[in-house]
Amino acid sequence: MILERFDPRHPRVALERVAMADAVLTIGRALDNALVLDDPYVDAHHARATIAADGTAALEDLGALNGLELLGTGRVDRVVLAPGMHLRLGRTHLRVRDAAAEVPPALPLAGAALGAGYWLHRRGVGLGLAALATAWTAHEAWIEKATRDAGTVALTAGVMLLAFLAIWAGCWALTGRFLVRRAAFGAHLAVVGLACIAMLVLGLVHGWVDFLFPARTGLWSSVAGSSYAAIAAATVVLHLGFATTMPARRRWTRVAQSSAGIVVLALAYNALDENAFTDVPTFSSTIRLAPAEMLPATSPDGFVRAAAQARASADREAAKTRE
Amino acid sequence: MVRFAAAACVAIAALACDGFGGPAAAQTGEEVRAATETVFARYAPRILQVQVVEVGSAARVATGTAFFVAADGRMLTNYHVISEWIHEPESHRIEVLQPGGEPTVATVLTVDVISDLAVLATGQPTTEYFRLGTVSLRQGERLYSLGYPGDLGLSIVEGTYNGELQYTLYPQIHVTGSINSGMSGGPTITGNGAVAGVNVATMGNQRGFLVPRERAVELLAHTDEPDFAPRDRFLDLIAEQVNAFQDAFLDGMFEGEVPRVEIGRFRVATEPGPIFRCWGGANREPERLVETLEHACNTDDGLYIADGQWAGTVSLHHQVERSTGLSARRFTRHLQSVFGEDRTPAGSERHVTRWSCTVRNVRVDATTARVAYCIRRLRKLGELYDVVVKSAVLGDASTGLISTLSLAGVSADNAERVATRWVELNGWQ
Repeated sequence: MILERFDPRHPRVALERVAMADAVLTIGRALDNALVLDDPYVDAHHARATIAADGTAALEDLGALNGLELLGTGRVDRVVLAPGMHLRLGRTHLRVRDAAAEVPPALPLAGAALGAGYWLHRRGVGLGLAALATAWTAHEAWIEKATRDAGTVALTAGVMLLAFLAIWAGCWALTGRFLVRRAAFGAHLAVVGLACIAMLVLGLVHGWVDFLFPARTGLWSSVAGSSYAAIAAATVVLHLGFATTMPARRRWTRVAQSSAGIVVLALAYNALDENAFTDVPTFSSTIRLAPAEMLPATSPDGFVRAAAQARASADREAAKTRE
Repeated sequence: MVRFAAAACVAIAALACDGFGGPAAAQTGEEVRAATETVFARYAPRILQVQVVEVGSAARVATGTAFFVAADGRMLTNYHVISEWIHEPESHRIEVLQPGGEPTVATVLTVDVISDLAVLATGQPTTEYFRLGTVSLRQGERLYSLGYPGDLGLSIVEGTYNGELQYTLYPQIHVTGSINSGMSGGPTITGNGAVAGVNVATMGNQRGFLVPRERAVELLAHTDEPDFAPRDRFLDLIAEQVNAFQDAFLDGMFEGEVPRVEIGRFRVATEPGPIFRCWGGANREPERLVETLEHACNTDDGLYIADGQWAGTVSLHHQVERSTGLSARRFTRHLQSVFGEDRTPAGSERHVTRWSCTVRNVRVDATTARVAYCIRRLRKLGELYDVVVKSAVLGDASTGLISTLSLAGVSADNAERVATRWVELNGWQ
């Protein structure tokens, strides 16, 4: 077993470690102790750890003024040590660790060790992706506005997106700084920038598919919705990978669980909302520029069949709520 | 000399006009006022106030006027005054009352939703009633409208006969006078007590409208038939009437040669029938970077079914957009947002289902259009629907047409037929 001295405000890093190899380990402020504590509230000879032949270790109070405290239990005269125990002598905190405990593997720092994440960590990649996402979003905003002030609208949209990306990446960077002591802001910016671009591509594809094949608009919406969710989930997994020590499988499991929770919430909300009345129609108004002759189109007869289906749907709703 | 001649002219004119009779012709102010007081005093006993009361809360949900038309106590009023009862007879009751009397429960004998009339009965006979006979009216003739405007008590309003409207579903009588909405269902009569028509609507600014008495005569005669019996469910009767009406109304509409008008590079259908009124407009503000031309027609008139629910109306709207400074992509996106605008009529859950929409790209000859078809069912009137068809002509980077056709209270067959024709009729020149 290992005895560690640590500061409870910064528990991740031990201040001092001593292995309990010898049969007796003395602890106190006097310099002839095996573990010297520079704490004015600790006696010269405060406590003694003894290791028996079978390996069990015990810590006993040598009659110190402020005694021995086992956190969670209170003041003790003698305690059998076990890994995980948190003790206090005076104002010094000690904890017991198992010398054979497993530690997580080393995190990749640079180069090939980063694997696929290497490219996202490269200098400039984050800014580049974020810039691309911002420019594309500003362009979309400009296209949406058919008036002279479209330029200012586009600029505002771009700035707001850039601010969001920076804040989002910044939050993850702070998390990483705290958990794995590496901010990697550029990498997090790259991840969210990539996610934005992926969503913009998805929106583009969805718009065209819905324009060309409006008969299955519900199907396209479901596919698009699931894809957006998948992109969001993958993004969070990547962020977790750079900012935490979570192993890959656990990251995916956690994200899958959260996504499932959100999906269940969304479905529940949808189900409750299903019967809510509205006199506003919803229909797909997607229009894209393409030569009219090349568009897949139906004849008026096909249109009448579609109209009859819509009528059948209205009939079903009327029948459902009839007395 | 001149003043004497002028006075003589006036005197001669007064003498000449007086000979033609009629209480409204060239009377002095005093004589007119005296006539109004007399009319009121003589005919007031024949007018009743109608109120529709909710059974549970005893709250008054509608108020109007009725008048006796037969010795057995039958009364005439408007359908729209009692429409709440028609839709929910179990939770409402109809009461009639006269000044100083107690409210009496009235039953409905029959209704005509096309003319907006209803015949009520209390079972109590009366000696004071209007006999509906023939009457010929001249432009400018003095008429008197009687009724209960809200809670202000029985009132009489002087009005002037101003002919019949030609662009309504049936010829309504136009009366210039301040007919108030509470007076709906009351009579408008000549000074001699001849009923010209039943007060039905007002457009403000002293524009009042009456159901001609001929239609009231027909409806009353129907209740005189030997095998007449009131319906169990008046909603069924109304459904039949609206169904028959929309069939006749839409018969042949948009068939054969339909008038077309050219707007921009498009040719569109317009004015499908004589009772449509059309207007157009343009928006060319340079700020917008597009130019918009609009053309719309609608039937001014329709059938009132219930609060917020109409039937038998057809309206069409064309919007031509032309880019004056937008790139192809921006113009296409603009067309998309115009296509997505909601131009559907409002509706309440009581009367209609939600809209059920479907979208297709449809090709007719040289025109390919994206067409949205939205339909909702009227819950209480059998198999009748509200339909909105909206088409956007595709394929051009600088100009586009969005055409919307809106039908209220139509059968499914008519809806699908007219919608298909609509798609075929609007397109490139």
